[in-house]
Amino acid sequence: MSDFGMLCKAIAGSVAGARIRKRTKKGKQNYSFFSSNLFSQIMAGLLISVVFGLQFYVTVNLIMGSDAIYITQYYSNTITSYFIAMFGLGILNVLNIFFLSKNDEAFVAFPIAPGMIFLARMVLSLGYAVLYSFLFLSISLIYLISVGGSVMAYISVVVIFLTLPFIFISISFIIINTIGLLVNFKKHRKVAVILSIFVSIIAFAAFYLPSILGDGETSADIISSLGIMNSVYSYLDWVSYISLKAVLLDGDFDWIYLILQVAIAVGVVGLSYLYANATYINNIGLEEGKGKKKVSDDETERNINKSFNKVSINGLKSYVYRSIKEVLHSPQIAMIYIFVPLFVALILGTSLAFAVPEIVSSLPAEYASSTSLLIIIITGCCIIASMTMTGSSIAVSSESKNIAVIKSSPIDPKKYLESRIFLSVIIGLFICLVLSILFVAAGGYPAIYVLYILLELVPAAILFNYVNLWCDLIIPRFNWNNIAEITNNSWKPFFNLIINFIGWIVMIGISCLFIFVPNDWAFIGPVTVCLIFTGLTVLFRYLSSKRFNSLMNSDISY
Amino acid sequence: MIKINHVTKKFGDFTAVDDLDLEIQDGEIFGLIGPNGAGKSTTLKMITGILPPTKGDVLLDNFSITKDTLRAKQQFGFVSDSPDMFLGMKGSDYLAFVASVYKVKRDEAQEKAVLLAKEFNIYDSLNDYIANYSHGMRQKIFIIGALLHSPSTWILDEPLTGLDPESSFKIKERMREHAQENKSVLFSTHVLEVAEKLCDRIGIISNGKLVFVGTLDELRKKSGDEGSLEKLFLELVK
Repeated sequence: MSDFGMLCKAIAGSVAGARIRKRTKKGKQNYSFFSSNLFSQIMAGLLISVVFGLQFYVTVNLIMGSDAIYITQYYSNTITSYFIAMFGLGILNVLNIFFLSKNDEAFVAFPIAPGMIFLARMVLSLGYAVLYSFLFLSISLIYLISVGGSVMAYISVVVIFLTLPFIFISISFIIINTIGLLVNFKKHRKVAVILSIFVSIIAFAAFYLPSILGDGETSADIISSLGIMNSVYSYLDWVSYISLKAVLLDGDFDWIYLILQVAIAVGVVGLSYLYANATYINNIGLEEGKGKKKVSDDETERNINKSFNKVSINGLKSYVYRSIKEVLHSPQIAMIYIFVPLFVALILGTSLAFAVPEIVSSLPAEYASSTSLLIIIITGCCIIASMTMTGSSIAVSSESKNIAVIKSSPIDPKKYLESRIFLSVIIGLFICLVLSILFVAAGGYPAIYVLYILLELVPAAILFNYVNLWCDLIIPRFNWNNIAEITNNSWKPFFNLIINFIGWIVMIGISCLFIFVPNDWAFIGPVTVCLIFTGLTVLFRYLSSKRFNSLMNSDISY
Repeated sequence: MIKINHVTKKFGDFTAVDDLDLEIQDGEIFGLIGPNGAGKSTTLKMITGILPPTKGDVLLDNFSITKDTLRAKQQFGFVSDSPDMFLGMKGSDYLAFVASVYKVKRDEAQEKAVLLAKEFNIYDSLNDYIANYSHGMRQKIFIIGALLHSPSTWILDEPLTGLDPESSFKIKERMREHAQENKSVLFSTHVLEVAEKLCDRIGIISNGKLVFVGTLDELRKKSGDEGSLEKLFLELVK
């Protein structure tokens, strides 16, 4: 392997969660490509390309028919959204690889030209961007096949596919490096956390938006929703203007747009290299110390007071405070706890808003409102189940080395476990409260329905968190270096997905039992479900506590 | 007082600690010495409840670590050999958390935390994240955490590693003072000079077995040699 190749490999290993350790039965550690972050990224890129590509194919070919004008408009909107998503992912990658990676001091100490460090990180970022660029390729090829594109159009698509990663990453670097001149990301990780979450939500919403807006069962539905899409995207056309022109949207291929596309790619790469030389490279390795200010004695005393105000004899307040601080300190943990729930709530919530009125309208009037209530409740529970999946499924495993101290301290197991799922429960309840009010308002149901829904969702949120916590406690995994290792590369999220899926089936089964309860008896469904959830919560709380006690007395350690 | 009653720890077929029987009296500083992999850390982990013994039991002030776990854990303060923990917390938040766990009153805990932080020269860094601390600073914050609830027994795994000379001196002074208050200190170390100067008694562990327990004079008498502790130690662990 060349020197530069070795440098890229070393930098890849320094990126958070990039390389995964696995212990063998003999206690030694080995590395596996299939357990690496790279493999996860490849799979995520392929999955996004296949799922959204398929969705685009179905909409274009099976519903829209052969109307090229609508197909072109839909393609144009989809690509605009895709560009926004790619910039979001580009910013995330750049932040992670250029600004939050480890071992900066070690790299600076080696006899490596600083420019090479920048280039190696650029190559790594580009590698990730290429994975997500395949979505552009798949959508564009489907579009060209559908409307019968010329050979030049196909060539354009390939050229754009090759240049896009350079554009996304270079522009992302320029933006993040500019912010980095003002804010030290390593020093102010919370700013990075907020930025990451905000950008991630925009990126994934952008991926998802065309599939909602383009949804519909008939050509008329699609064309109607296309009207809404056009009004949204009329403000964003500039984002993808040149690339779309180069793919021959209007039948008049113009070389100038293709040349412009390549020129922009080369230009932004050159610009980012010059910018890096002037600012970024000189600051590599100095990030930790930069911006460190002398804290006055008064401020220190105030902060100590603030910390010790959390001391309480029953311990719970302090335990919860610790858990929340840990989440806020780590961008990746915050993503798991906050971003995943928001993302799932966005997808399921919007789908629900479309689906419920449709189902209710097909039912006899005497059953319609009680049934709709149950549907809302059950799907609401599904939302909770999905969004608590990752947060509480690593509640105890996320302790890592801390587990040694936890095991040697006189910690109250029940309070400790409550503190580990507290944040997930609170986030779940907040989202469910907002969704409940929105659904009741949107469906024109009586206000009392909000209380009925909450009567289910409060025990459901606690129940699902305890189920996930119990799953984590069955086979905890503490030997990780970075939180991404246990979320991306272990069986836990998958196992919890299955558990939650079984939970959904059970709840749908329960809802079937009450689906034709007359409206006057609508409260029977929620009360029954509430009792079942409460009973199961007590059971799983007991099981979790028992399992935790046995864990505390086991050989399991870091 | 720590009473280790015929404790054995096995990992599969491998015996990490073999029938260890030892009593550490109040008012005593006891040093556990041994080569890498001898079983020192495993022994300390069993005493502190991190690992359950395969056989035997440990009593801390007469509370069994296996049967009366929570009360036994209240009796000691433990400093692990790896200070890379609780990195996502600020120093002051960590100390407040420890105070909660050990049920120390708020004012008392804060006063003691400030006092110790000033003594170990990390008061100005209390508002910083532990992740940003140097190895020595992390060691100091965990030592302060272990002292916060004024435990009757200190159990320290390689406590002086990474400490600057001043802090190292202070922790040794504190260990002496603690023993003078008729409380016990158990620590492991690789530095034989520290054991030689600080310990009332030492235990030498090799391949999971306690090959010697006693004072340095007894060790010299036993070997019939007036040589250094280093030479005597090397002969014992051969």
